[in-house]
Amino acid sequence: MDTLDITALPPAALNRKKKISIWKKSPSLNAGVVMVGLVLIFAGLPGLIAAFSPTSQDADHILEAPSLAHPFGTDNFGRDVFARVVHGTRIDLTIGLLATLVPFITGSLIGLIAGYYGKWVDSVLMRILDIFMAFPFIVLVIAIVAILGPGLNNLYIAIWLVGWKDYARLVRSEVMVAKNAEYVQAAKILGFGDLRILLRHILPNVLSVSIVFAAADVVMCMLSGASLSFLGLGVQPPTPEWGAIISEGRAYLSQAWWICAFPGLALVFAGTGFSLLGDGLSDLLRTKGR
Amino acid sequence: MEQLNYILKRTLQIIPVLFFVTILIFVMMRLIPGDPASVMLGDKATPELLKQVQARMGLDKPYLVQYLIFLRNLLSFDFGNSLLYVVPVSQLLAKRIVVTLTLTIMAAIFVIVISFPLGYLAGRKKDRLPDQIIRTSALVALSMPQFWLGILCLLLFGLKLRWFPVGGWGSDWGEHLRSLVLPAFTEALATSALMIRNLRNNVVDVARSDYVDFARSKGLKESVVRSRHIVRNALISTVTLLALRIGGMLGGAVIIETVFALPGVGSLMVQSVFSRDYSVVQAVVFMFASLVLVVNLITDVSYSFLDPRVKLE
Repeated sequence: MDTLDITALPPAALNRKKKISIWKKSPSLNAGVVMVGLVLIFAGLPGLIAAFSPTSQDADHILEAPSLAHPFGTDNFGRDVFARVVHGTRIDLTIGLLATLVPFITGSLIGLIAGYYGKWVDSVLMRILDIFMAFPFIVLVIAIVAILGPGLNNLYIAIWLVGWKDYARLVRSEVMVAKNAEYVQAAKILGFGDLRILLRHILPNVLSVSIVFAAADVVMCMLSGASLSFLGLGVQPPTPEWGAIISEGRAYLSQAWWICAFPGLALVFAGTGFSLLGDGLSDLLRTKGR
Repeated sequence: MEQLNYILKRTLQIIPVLFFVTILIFVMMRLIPGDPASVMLGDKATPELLKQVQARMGLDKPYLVQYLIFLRNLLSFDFGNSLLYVVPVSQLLAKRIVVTLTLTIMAAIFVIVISFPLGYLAGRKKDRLPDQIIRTSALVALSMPQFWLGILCLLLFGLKLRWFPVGGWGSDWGEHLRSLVLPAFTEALATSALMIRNLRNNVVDVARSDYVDFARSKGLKESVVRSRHIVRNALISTVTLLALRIGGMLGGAVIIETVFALPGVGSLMVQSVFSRDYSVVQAVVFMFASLVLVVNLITDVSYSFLDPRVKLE
């Protein structure tokens, strides 16, 4: 993955001129910003975009194919699929962001501590990491949800408990390089405390790998959340979450493909947006050093 | 000798990890609201009956003793009985693991068939049209929910075109393989996208390297330079990436098998979660962890054989 390419970054300040030129030169960043921006608008103002309510049923318009009035058709309760997809944006986006945010913080901190202190602290934390690495991500998440019971809150808890491992691994290897760098040695000679060195000197310089990974992780978390909701373990119907809508539409697949097709397209659109944003960010950070 | 030592050492390293994995699973199972006895009895639970079953399952003993019993049972592949199927869990797993492993192997073959030519092509045509098309497709494929892709494949190739069965596993190996084509393709797409990106970047890097220039300047034919120098070196890290992704692909079986109604370990796990059949859940989780550890071991060892530059530590 591209995330590995930026490991050799020296701690240089961002040059504004270069920033502008990369903005022009990186089509992925531009496309990503536009697509994520659209997703944000859909999530923020669903009522303005969708004419119908996502939950109001209409017995006269059941399983109707896409038309001008219902661009994505209607489902088995006569609900407008377009309205359901638009209103689902906020839920799926929140899952993607919130499920990424907590592991981003905890994982980075664990990696920071393990990499900086080394010795037994590192050994203990890395053995815990080994245990978590032994499970396929989705298997452990499902096992935790199985214990806590299905539902959105427990889905978050499960992903938070499992998702930190990649950040810890990435940040740890960065810190192990950075702690021998001259600027850290200088800070030590000046007598700064560990906490200050860690947070003010090392953290800002190792965080870029975490940030680039987080952009890709938003996609992963959004897909995992939708997958679990699809299995019936996450967001429960009738809440218009994309995975849950697909799960409900599956029974009507042969008569009404549109119920399943459009929420999935929405996931692909949002996911591609964040992937492009991540690629653009990694371009941006890579050029920063040159 | 050095290699043998390495294999031995790497194998021994698995043991402590597996040991802690069992502790984690044990703790998780004890965190379930209500103890296993009351879960097993369900509505039939009366205080006396509950005590009786608890005693029989050893739940009245201290946690440490309970854990040791649990560990002993795991080591002898005794996972208890399934509540739903009323057969030993090990028997259930033995039948279903065949499906999951065949699915994963077939998906891995698809990954190779899809990603090797496309990744190489993209790398050779860097920044030109084929590269841009392949890269964009890979990016979109990475954001595709597998369960959705599976449903669309079912709709198009199963329901409409009738090329493949709409879920199920069939009764002989011919039917088995036919019914695995769509699930394996669905499983393979996201990993293929990752591998294409990796291989493309490797090909770009290797093609710029000094030893490729040298091979050309000493008069080797272009086809030889490509096959012996560029492809071989570019593939090393890509193959490792595939091996590392196998664990993730095994996990993906949980969703794929549910979509395609395949009787594998993954769909068993989902069913068992809903029927609160915890002895099955615990066995499946343990099995996935063991599989991942073994796959990682094989990867490390074969990597050291394939690439003589890898230092054995």
